[in-house]
Amino acid sequence: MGTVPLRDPATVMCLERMGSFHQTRLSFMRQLLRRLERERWSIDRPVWRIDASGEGAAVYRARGPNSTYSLVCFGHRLAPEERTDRVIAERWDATFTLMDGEPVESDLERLAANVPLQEAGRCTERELVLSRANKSVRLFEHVVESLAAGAQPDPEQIESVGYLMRTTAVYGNGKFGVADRDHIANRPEFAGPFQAEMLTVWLIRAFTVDLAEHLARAKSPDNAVSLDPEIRRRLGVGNSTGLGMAPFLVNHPALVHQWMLARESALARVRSEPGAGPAGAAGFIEALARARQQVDGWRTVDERQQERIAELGRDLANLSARVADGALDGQRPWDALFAWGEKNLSVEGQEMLVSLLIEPHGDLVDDLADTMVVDEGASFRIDGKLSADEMKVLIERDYPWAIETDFDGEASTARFWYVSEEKLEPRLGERYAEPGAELEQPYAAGRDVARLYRVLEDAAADTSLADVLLAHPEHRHIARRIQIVARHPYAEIRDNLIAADMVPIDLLRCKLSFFGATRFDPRSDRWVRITMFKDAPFPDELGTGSADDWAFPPVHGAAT
Amino acid sequence: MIVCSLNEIEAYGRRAARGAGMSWGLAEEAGKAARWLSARGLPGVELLLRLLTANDGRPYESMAPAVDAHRWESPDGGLCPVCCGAALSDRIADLVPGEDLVLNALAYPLLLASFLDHPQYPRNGSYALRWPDFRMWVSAQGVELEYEEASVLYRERADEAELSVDTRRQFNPTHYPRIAGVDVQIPIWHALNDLGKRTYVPASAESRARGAGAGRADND
Repeated sequence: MGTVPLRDPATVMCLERMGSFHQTRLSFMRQLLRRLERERWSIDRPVWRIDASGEGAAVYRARGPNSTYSLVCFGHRLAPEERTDRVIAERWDATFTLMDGEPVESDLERLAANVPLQEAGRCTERELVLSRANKSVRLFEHVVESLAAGAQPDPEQIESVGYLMRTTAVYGNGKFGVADRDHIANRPEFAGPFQAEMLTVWLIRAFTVDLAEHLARAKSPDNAVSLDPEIRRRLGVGNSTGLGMAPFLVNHPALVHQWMLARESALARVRSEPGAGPAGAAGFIEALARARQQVDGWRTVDERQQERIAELGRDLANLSARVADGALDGQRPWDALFAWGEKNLSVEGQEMLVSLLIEPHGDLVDDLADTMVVDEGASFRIDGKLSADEMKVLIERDYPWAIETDFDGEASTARFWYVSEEKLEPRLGERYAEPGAELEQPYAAGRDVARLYRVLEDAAADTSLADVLLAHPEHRHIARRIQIVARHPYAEIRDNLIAADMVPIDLLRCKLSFFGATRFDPRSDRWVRITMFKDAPFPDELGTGSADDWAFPPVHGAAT
Repeated sequence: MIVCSLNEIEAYGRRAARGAGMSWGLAEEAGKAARWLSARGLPGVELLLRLLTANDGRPYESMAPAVDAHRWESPDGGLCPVCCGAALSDRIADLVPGEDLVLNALAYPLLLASFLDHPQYPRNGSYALRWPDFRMWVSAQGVELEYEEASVLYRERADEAELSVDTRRQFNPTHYPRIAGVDVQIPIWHALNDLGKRTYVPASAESRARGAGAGRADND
């Protein structure tokens, strides 16, 4: 038996499926915590100058085998009307930067003058990440009140919100003056995708709990207690993600290909295994039980997602029954189970099955984490020697959906992506109802491919692409993209991103699942709440062997 | 001075070029060119701003090259180094030893340099770019510059910029890319940003009514 082939990009790269992804063991949060534990990183808090009102500065220091990084935190007092998650906000409950090395006093002064201002301040290349967070006022107050009174907070309330603070932006890679990614990409700990950002969020989580405990003690020095570690674990960092994140997947095609390829390769490796083996079977059954509990606790206000969660619950029950019936016996059981899933599960259920199949196979797949990066500059140059005919062949192979779409219809061009002058963020407009379509951002790959295809049809077959682009510079962007996709089959979202029925949160969900987010809670069709690092260990719990045993959290009450 | 990251320079440069009327694909080339020069200690941001300001409103056809084997020129005044660079980059394999190319009336010629940094080319030697008082050699290994006065880097126009493949000369790179923040004069940065702002869509009654990116209240 040969190996099972990778899934067809045309199957994987459509929005409905991308919007159904779940975290896997290749997710970026899990990569980070595995490394921190493996390399025995030590975390401490050399500076804590927060007053009884929550204002002041704190520093968390993370020391690894080669480098030290510091999360510099600033606590602020905020009037309720100042607290907004929108990108136009000017103040936040807390602001952060991840710094290369350790700050001295003059650094703290410089950062105190800039980090609280966020976009309006200026960082330097000694800073790697810039971020800010707002409280969940309801839960934060409940936790502080409870701890101050010597009691533990209500687990139900903890579970229903899931975080004390939510970040409203996590900026890296050169934004607002912080270091370019290339500056740190050759360090092993930051070679992987978004590792500096993930470290930042994980340390922010520790700060949010320390802050709540500190305020409880300030309120009631004699009675206050610390948060029970079991309850503490259930807190993650919340995150509100809107359309600002959506273009990332469009703007980084070669990188997206590497992410997808790693995930699909992991799936194919597992499906190719000749037998389940006792450890693999036990690991899968355990992960499935945990996933069922996790899905039971997944709350959202979004009706579409509520229905999908209910269906996912039924899917996982069917899957459990299937496994109990001996699905893991016999030849290539993982492949057989996957094939059954394709016929019998919802798309959300199928993608959960992908995560579950990968879960117990760390030895088989974890090395793929190192492949989730790419030198994007290497695919920038256009090969102008290709003929019009050769370009048409590429389009016919990779973009059949685009040349088959009727882009003369209003429904297929109903939207346009633009950058809002007011919000300085990507937004989605209604082309036939709002002004501004002439300032459209180049995210309508399908339509633009179809336009270039018409030009190529009119050109002589052996005309060089170089000549086509010299005469038609408006097609240069899409020609480059077609050539990138030709070499990176998972690079393109094979859906029309300006269609009337396109659901933007599908883009967000895909990216956030690669981060390792859980509990997707869509708040509209264009922004989503998530929790990061929920159930993960805290810094003082590193080294206890639990660094990667949390994404599917242990079943309550079960011995683990 | 403001210290800008290379990613900021590329992003602002791309946005400004688009704001000044370039197609998205050419604007991407412009952003890359500004980044490439900046990373090598050369005035990429300032040159791009000067170019975009000088060519603001000029139609593409008037500054794009009529491509010929040995001489490129524009039908209507100076050649744009980004338009030429893109065309050159698409045909880089045609530039071979002994087949020199002259670009007539090339605006801000230093902006052409980054287009000569190609991972596969030239097969031997380096690309040489010269205009009076200035010579430059570019390969994927690095960049060598030869000039007396720094003002020559800011040359507004080269009547004849010559391009060739140099296979004989010992190549001694003087400028290597650094991944580090770059000092940019604040007025230049603001002017570049002002061009970029033209790509933003102002809020309209319709977009506000539709809530654009908004959802329900985000406090809890």
